[in-house]
Amino acid sequence: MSLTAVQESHAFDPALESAPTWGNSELVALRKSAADLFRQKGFPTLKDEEWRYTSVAPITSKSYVLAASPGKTEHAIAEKRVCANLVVIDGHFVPELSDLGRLPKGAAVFPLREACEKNWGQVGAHLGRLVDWSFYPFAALNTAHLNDGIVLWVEEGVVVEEPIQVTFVATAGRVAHPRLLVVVEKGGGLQLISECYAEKDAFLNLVEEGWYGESSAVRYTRLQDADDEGSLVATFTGKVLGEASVETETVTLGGGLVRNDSGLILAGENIHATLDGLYLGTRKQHIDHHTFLDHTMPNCNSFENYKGILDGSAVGVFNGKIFVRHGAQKTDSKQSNRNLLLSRDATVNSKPQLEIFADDVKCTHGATIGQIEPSQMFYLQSRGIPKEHARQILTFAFANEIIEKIPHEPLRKRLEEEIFARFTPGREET
Amino acid sequence: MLTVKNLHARVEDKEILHGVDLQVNAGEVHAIMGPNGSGKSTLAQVLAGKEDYEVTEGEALLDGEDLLDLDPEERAAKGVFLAFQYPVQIPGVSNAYFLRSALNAIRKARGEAEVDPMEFMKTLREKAAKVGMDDAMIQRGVNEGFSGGEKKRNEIFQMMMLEPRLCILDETDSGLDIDALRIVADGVNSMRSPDRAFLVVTHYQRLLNYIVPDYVHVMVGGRIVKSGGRELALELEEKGYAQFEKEGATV
Ligand SMILES: Nc1ncnc2c1ncn2[C@@H]1O[C@H](COP(=O)(O)OP(=O)(O)OP(=O)(O)O)[C@@H](O)[C@H]1O
Ligand SMILES: [Mg+2]
Repeated sequence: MSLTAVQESHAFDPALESAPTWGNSELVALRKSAADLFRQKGFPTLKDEEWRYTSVAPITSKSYVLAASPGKTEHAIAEKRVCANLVVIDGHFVPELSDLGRLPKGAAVFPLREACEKNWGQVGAHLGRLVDWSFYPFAALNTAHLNDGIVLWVEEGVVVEEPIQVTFVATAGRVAHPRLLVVVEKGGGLQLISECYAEKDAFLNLVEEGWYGESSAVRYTRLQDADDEGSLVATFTGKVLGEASVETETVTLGGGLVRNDSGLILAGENIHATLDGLYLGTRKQHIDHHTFLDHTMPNCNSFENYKGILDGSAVGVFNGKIFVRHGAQKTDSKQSNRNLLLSRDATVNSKPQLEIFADDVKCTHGATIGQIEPSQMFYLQSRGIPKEHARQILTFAFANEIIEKIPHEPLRKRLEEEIFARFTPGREET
Repeated sequence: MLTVKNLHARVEDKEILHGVDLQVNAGEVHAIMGPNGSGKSTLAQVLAGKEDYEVTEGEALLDGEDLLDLDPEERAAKGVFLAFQYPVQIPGVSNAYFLRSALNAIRKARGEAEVDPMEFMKTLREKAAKVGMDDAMIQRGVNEGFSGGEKKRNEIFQMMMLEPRLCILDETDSGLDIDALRIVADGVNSMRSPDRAFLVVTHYQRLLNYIVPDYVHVMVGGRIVKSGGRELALELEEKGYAQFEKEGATV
């Protein structure tokens, strides 16, 4: 009850009046309809089924600056760059920090604003048309402020061999509503890495749309992190056409409040899709993953594997929806959510939500919440490995099942080191 | 080397070991045989330091030093090794990484320098080859997806890498085909030395044809009820444990 009260008397002015106004009539209308919707619905509360375990008070109890230009970031952009890298800070594309690498003919990257101005025909047909912002209040808020971000376009049959990295940062005290629009046409191939970071007292509100054409092959790794006093909301919807393969993993390293709404619409036959995730929470961090896999056509398989490691008094939330629509026969879908609690005060709310309207399908799901297995501890100790080190090894091993799937080696190594170091004995996290 | 005196151990409220006495000297091989549930694994695990068991009476000394007060890792550093009856799987931790961490931890505890990584890999490959483990298996998660026999060979491989002084083998021969049995026995025999001792728990006299014991003990109902030379194993093979069951049951 008290939480609801806090939410109602928020300091955060959604600043719908100061939203950008540039662009053609369609773009202006898009912003306006999103703004109208947000005005009508407002911020979600704990009474909202989709927000039962996540209070938005950490976001709404602060006030932010909606900046007209990028601020200076503490985030180590250069250090964390693992390949061609595009950087968006406080919602503005920053050419000085971006480095495009070599893109093959037929693949292109644009700052969103430039893409809207020069090529509305193509951009307008995809922008704001995939993420259902009537269902996601923060996506509506983002759309109402639609201004800048990145558009990545891979033309028919073009395979981009080198991975591309995009980085989104909200700097201290600021709010940002950037967009990522990815279009991979028929037969295209892309390896994408995105990284989000919200600094102290910042709120990063990202919306991502991914259009994955027939027979395309997409490998997508998402990294997320935020300060203990920062908030990150990421709404991601991908639409996958027939014969395509889309494999994703979202690695959340922490954050005061991190909320994800991620999902894939499988809109063709013979699609292979994975939606994996790893989330690490400590202290009072709150990490929420709401996901969906929407099987609308027959003969597709989807695999979802989310793993959480929670320490301190961190809270994890997992809600995994799987829809198998009428006619989506021969669907093969597996969902798993396993959680490792490293302290007494850490908690997880895990909920699978399967809605199946076809009869010839294979759907399995499972969730576990547990501690480190004592028999494994004893095995390591009996070989001479001290208790604390054994805990570190086993905790890392739990995380590594997701990390080892990351195809880009420099990134995988970086994360291995970062995550292993996090569980170093003596690095007390309370 | 190992002296066990009147050892009583229990799990929760249930006493399982009712006073075990055992003297194992350096250079010797001791076999322990006995019916299912008689406490053989319990004794092995108590010696390795498993927390679930509470020792209520008696003592276990390694070279005169109390073992029971030490953590499992400290016992390992002193040279105690248990080849588990049921080795666990640890996905996500490769055998190679696991063994290097173990070896370095033991060396650190003894005040020795870490192993040279290149040297380590060389030894690892050589010893793995001896138990029929290839590179792919070395890089796989510890016992991850290993067959029963592969897990047992992996236990012997670990023993060869860590070079302990007191080697406790809990039914390492169970579930092995005849070739694997030979591999395991060769592994043990190659490690026999005047300053190393073996305590081998087995149900089968067959293993003792390969690993010839100096002493055979019969454990029944949480106690060692008879000890003798290797001929005792042959006698057990013939007559079974019926002759001892009465004694055990009275406990
Ligand atoms: N953790 C435990 N909790 C409850 N009972 C236990 C536990 N460990 C062992 N026991 C019991 O103690 C007895 C001895 O078990 P133990 O495993 O030592 O037998 P064993 O001689 O090794 O048998 P086997 O030949 O079948 O391996 C059994 O009755 C077993 O059920
Ligand atoms: Mg046993």
